[in-house]
Amino acid sequence: MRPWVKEQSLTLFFLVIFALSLVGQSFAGLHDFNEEQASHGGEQYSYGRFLVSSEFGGDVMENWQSEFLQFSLIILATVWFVQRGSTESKKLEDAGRESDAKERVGEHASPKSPRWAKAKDWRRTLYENSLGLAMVAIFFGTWFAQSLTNWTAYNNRQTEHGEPVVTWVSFLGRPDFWNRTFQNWQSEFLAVATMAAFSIYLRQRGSAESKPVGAPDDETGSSS
Amino acid sequence: MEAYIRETAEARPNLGVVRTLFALCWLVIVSGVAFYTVIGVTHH
Repeated sequence: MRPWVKEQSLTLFFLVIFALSLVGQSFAGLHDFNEEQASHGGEQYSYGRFLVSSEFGGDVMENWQSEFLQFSLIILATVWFVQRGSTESKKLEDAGRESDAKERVGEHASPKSPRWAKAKDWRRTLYENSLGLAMVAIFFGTWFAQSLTNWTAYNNRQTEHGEPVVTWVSFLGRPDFWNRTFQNWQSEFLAVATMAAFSIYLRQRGSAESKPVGAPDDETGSSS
Repeated sequence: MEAYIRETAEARPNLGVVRTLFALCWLVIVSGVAFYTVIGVTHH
């Protein structure tokens, strides 16, 4: 394996399986949509038409938003919340935003520290929260896009059934939107809670997500 | 000399690929959100 591929293999692996899954979703989604349409004599979509449809866009965005909500919450919750014995948690005594010395910012920055970690103004405030801010911004962006595409898809169904269309604001209060939202959120929250709890007692040798196999169960915040 | 070049290369890794992947992730997300926002707004 070429050195640059090996060094980026984690990101590359997930980007490749993301692309393959998205293609798989597009084909399966098209056939599922057309089967549903055929059952009540609705319009059949071509593959190209389906890719630029609110039906497909909504299905993509509602899964994206829940993933980025999951990461937003785990990034922010693990600042203050801890779990004894978990690899997902900091050590119990480290709960909170930590000292400048531990975070290596301002006068505690090293020559190799990022430039904005050395700053003492708004740039440092922005930089020291940039990961959480990015994830939260992506969550709200994808959730907004989900609301718009779900809304258009909902109105398409209403029109086909001879029912009145609704405004976007009205759709935000509809069960359709919240059912799609909560069904994605609940699975993410269960997975995070399970990972926090499972990593106390279970091991995966060699994984960055696991503590060393021989580490005691109550050892918190360690990984291989 | 070879050892010096190797040590220098290790001390200063080429971050071009890392930056490209960072930008690629942003590109996928921002373009996906922008695209389907427009699709939703224009009632496609």
